[in-house]
Amino acid sequence: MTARRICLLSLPLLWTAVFVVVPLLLILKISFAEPLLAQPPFTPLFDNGALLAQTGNYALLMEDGLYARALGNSLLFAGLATLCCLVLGLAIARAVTQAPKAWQPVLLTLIILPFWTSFLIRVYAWIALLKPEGLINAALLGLGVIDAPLVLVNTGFGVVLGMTYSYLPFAILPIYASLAGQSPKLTEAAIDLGATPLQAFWLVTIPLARPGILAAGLMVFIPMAGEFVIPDLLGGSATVMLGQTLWTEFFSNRDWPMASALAVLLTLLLLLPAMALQRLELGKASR
Amino acid sequence: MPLLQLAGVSKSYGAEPAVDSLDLSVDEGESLVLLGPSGCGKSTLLRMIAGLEAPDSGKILLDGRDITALPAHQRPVNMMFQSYALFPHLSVRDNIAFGLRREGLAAAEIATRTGEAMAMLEITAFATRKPHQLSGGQQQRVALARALVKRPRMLLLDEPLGALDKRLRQQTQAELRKLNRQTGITFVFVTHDNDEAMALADRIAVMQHGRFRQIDAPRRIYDRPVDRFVANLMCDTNLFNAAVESGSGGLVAARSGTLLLHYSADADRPTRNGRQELALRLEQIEISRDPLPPAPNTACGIITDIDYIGDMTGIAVRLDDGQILKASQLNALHEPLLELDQQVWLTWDADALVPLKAEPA
Repeated sequence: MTARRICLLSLPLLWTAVFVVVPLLLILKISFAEPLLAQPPFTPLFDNGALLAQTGNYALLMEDGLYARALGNSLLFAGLATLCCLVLGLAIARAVTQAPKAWQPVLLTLIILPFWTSFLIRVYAWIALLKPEGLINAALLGLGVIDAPLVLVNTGFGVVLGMTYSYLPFAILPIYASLAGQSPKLTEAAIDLGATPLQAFWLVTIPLARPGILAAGLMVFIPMAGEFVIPDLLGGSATVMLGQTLWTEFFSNRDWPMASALAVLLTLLLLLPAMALQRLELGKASR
Repeated sequence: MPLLQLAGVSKSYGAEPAVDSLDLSVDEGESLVLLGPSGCGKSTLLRMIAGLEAPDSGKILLDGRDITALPAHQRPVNMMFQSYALFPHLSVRDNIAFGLRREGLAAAEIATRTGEAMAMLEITAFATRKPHQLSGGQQQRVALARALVKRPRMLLLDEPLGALDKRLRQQTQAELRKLNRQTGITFVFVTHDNDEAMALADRIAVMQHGRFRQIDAPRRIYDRPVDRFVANLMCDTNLFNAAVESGSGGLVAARSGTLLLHYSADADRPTRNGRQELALRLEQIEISRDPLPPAPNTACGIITDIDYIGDMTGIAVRLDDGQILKASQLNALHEPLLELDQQVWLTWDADALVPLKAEPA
């Protein structure tokens, strides 16, 4: 390896080491400690050269139903919202690729436009829309579709809707990239060979967009599974997700080791399947 | 009854007509080549036959049935695309079976027919490979097999040989011609390459600006081009814009510069305004190094350019009045070879001069 290449590689490696690897190792270390009313608020890992690793936090994670429920909620809501993001993302990305070439950059800009406004404000806006006296209920009541206001906020529906809305652009962009790279001739060839347009989409367009769809899925699922703000604002006590539990352990209970154990669990649960999936896909691409 | 009939088919993109009120009929088993420069509407016409584009007006009939409104996936015609458009995620076998699966055939029949198609095109060895693992020539065979396995009433080929090198292209042309004769499948072939058109066609339809300029057998197109566009498209040719002087006994006398030209009158190509455009193929001119007496259809000049291309030698000759005439001869029949600045005499038959129709404005 030349000095030039080492220089080029050192920046991302340094970045990853300082902001990813070292913090992760610290979290891992804290997760094996016990809470302490001190500064820092946990027991040290080594005392006079003796290893003091405690696995009690992990044991509690397995025993207490609270954590399992939070984990279940996280996977369920993030999974549902990912599905919504992929379906909507595919539809929107395809619509953009079908639009005249000159419009496409404009349409893509419109998709990213909500980022001009703070994420937090947009989630608060959904409360205004979804609450019992909010715009949606007022409109439905006014039209006579419903007699009493629907409970939209503080529900799983609210959480899934909020997450789908917030993360949709991250799903659209990779799917759009994979669709835009496809030759329209392939769809035409499929139709020429007797496939209906829908079959052509399902049998040719979707399989070829697989890497993009997979990337989109990972890109939205991983942050959504650890999401804190959206379930806190749009969800209720029945929709508590792992991110909220972690926050509670950390800030309310000041139980850093438990919070760290939760973080390790979440990281492992999300990272391992994601890496496996990516490996599988990369292996397929090189074959 | 012809297999395919087009009646007044038009298609325009914006204000520009891509295909302008075309009539055409193609017989069963025929190989028709649509020839023209890019943008002449030949691909649009092919795509309308396939159903990938809808005509603005006019009718398309297949076996006498109006298929103008029939969606592409229901038409019994198949297309071989310019870039092959093989499905990159499917193996060779699955690419070929794709169309049969859409027909809902039994798995056993799909396997048999796919196998036969691969055997016919000698690609059985690559059955499990993906398209990107094949050479251009192999990909082209897969594309052909994928279209033929459907047993279409008509095979549409959209410049499918453009990506191949010259030798492979010539070889494939011969194979396609053989396939057309053996299987009796009707071909409609789009190309901008006149040699390819010659090699493949029973009839050539020359297109320009969305219209047919001439539809004829290759030989007729070459020997009797209808106008300057067709004459120039087929190969390099001498063109005269001659002033007609007199006509007697079917032979017309005309003058271009100091050249006196005698040509056979053609009732279909009447003279307009006393001027007549005439085409003269390079190889129709006999080159002589011995002086010839002045006569009609005879010229004398100096060789200004020599172009040696193996079997042939092409020359440019400047006449006394400044006109340049191009001529060529077979090297095997003429020794020794010609030289620059040599004086030569040129002569040709009256029938070698082809009167052209005036180009439409």
